Amino acid sequence: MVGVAREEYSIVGKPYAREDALDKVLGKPIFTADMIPKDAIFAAVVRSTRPHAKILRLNLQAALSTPGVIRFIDGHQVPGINNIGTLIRDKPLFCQDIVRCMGDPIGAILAENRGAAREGARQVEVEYEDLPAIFSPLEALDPKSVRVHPNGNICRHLKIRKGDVERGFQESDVIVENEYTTQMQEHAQLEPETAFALPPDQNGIITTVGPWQDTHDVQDAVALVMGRKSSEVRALQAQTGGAFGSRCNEIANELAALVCLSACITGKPTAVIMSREESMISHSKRHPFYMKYKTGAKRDGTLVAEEIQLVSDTGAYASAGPAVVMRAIVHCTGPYVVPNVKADSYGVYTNNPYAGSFRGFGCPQVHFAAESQMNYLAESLSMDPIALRRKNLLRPGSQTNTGHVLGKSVGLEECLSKVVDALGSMVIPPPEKRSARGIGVALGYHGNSLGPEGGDRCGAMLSIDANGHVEYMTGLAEYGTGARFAHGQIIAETLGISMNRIHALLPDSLRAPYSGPTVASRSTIMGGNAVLVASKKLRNVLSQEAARIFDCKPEEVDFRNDTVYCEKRSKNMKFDELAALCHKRGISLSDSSMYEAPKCEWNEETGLGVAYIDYTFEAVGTVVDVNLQTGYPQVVRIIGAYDCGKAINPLGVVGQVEGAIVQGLGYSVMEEICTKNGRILNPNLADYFIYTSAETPQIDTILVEGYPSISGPFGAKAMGEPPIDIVAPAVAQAIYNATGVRVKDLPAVPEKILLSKSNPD
Amino acid sequence: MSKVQSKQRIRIQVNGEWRSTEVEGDETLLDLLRNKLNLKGPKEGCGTGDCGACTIILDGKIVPSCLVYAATTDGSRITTIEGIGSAEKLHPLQQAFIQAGAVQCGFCIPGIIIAAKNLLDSNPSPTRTEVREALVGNICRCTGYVRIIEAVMMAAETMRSGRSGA
Repeated sequence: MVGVAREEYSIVGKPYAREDALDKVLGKPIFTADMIPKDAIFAAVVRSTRPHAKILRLNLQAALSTPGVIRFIDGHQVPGINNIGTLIRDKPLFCQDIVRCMGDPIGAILAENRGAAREGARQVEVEYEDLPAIFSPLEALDPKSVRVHPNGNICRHLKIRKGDVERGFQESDVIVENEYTTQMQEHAQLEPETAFALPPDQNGIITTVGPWQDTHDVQDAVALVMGRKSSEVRALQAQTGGAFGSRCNEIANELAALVCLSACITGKPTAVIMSREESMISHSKRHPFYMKYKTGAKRDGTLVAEEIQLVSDTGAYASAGPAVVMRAIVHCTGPYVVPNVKADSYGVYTNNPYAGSFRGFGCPQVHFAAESQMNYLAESLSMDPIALRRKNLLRPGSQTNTGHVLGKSVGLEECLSKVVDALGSMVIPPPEKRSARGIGVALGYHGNSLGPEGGDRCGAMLSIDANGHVEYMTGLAEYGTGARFAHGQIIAETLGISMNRIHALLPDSLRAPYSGPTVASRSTIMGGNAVLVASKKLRNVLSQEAARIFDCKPEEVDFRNDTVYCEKRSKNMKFDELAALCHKRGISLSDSSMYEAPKCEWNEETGLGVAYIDYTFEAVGTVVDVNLQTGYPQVVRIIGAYDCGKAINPLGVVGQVEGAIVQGLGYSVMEEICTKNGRILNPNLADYFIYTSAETPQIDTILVEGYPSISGPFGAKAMGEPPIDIVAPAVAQAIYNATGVRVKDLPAVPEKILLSKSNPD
Repeated sequence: MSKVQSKQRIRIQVNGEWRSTEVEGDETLLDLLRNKLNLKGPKEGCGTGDCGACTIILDGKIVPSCLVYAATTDGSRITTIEGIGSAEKLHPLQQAFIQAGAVQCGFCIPGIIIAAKNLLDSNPSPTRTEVREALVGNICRCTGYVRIIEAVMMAAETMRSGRSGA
């Protein structure tokens, strides 16, 4: 079913403004901090100021005598399990004996207002005995090094063994070897962590409201800490000010557990609002990577063998690190056919701030190395880097890094051609004086949804009222991407009704069916499939009733333009009339359905098999002007082409692309969490630079739609993360073409470019 | 700005309406607006004037309200997002932001629309570069700014044609 015509659908594939934009432009009180109950008390967390230390004692005298302070709580007050770790239960809610990184929570001050809570927390004196600490993940690999956790510092090790790399290198005409590093990146989601909780109601249910990325995970984590059943905790998602992965890690569990614990102990609603500095110190970051690549190729450019070592620094806690280790190794060669691969991917504990989920999830790191490697190789072969890529790129029927023989849904070559054509036809004013211009191109791919990361299923709840209006809820959160409005388009398309009849609800963990986490760009695909199943079922119910009225067969009933038809009998009625009739006759127009993704067959021992059912393929081209006096790389134009399968809402997809590209530009040239001995040196938005409107270049997005996915609704593929994956290698290549400087350590900040230029190696 | 120590009563005109309220010496204008005047449109994104989510118009100038002591604003005129349009009668900027797909998470949007309004009040026909420069104090982490700039250009055109038609 390649090349589905757009005209086939009346709603899917068309741009729609999102339903929640109205409240947002009016500044309505829809975010967590806007809804904190008037009688709430506030909590503020006391955090470790040491990277690795024993906690000897706490002196609370000054804190407790601070005006407004009610009391102090710590691990001793936890009725259940004092741990909030996600994939591995290695992170205490409150550290009791040992702190393993700066920012580790030790306890919390409860006070009458936010200012008093903060002041009280500042007044808590913690007496430490420092322990030897380790900050280099490469040194942490040594079994003799300081141990962050009792079982050693290797959090996870995965490998790929495919073919025979030794023979591959012997058969190669050219071999290039390089080392690359990538930095720690901060999500900088605009809304800092905020939450509140209400004490147990008459049924014993505790309610917590927050910007939750995964309401069911938060619910389970709170239940564990509180020693209660999950069904006794209700997690409600408020409108959420960005996430990018920051909210699905331990910090969400920490906040929710903290306010719930306080609400239960004090009997008072409890709120917490983090400062930006606390937010930046306490939530997970993008994993820094240390990468060694050895690549062998024939004289004509054909890739023969690749040996790769990836070391990711997960800091003091695993968080999503084990899954990042996996996604990184699956994508480590880039989107190319490489017959012989030996790869090792290690996730390593250190006493650095912990790393976890971040848009891209290991892919931006390995694509930077893999694509830079292709550029080195092209130079060694005196070959055009684009020609080298064309020679090796994944096509329909190609075999991936993990030995997965792809089907027809591979649009990579078309993406590359579209970008090359667009770069060729661009008219840009010449660079300013003392600037040099370069062009860079990069390719990438991104496995859709969870793959081997976990069981992949998603539920949806849908109901049609007597006016023919539809309400729906999945357990998937909405933190800005607008994926749930794509769900609405799928429902409207299936029921033949207009979008103004559709209303999306935010998840309530006690009502929404289990949906898995809102991660891995899976919302449109998984939630879209779930609402598709549910709306088809309701369409069948409606068809039965319409068939009775029209005196025809249910399969002869059609749904279009808010009307229900039988062409054969020349009969029709309004959708809302049919809905009203069903309600009168007691026919249920509610459904709750579960969609389960096809299983992946990936062998964890060999690293071989089908890691992901579908991949999003992509190409990026960029033009960068480097100021030769300041070294500043100004990206003047960027073009991305994406094999998105099918854009359910093109306006939403383009929004995801533009946002990811700009976040990726920051990652390329300016963003870096700097640490010294485990301390973050720039935990604020003045010293941590991110792109503003002034630097943002013109962005051109090309959506390639001829390669529908196997598993996505209407052939859609994941588009939330892929566009961030390959910005950095394209920019680095453009900088090289402008200046002759190869940046192998991100970010490509001006001083690196200037210093390399004056000291070429 | 010097810190005012004691409690005092101030009168400020907020979105066209004079309000009299008592403020603490160290109370920020943002806290006053959000907590006492119940205007939740301005957001606290950083509390240090770096993100622009709390942007308001104070006597004709945009300021991050988290950096202004409320006590220093006695007699001032203040406009927040709540004062420029309603669901029934959206400001052209609000309409354009919805239509252009300029809103994702929306946390930055009240501040950005206010900054854009301040620009269009003094410059009804800005270039794209002028729009980019006017919004430089407002961080958006979701959209990549492209659709935001587009929305401001669209609104500027709507407002110009509205004026010439009037």
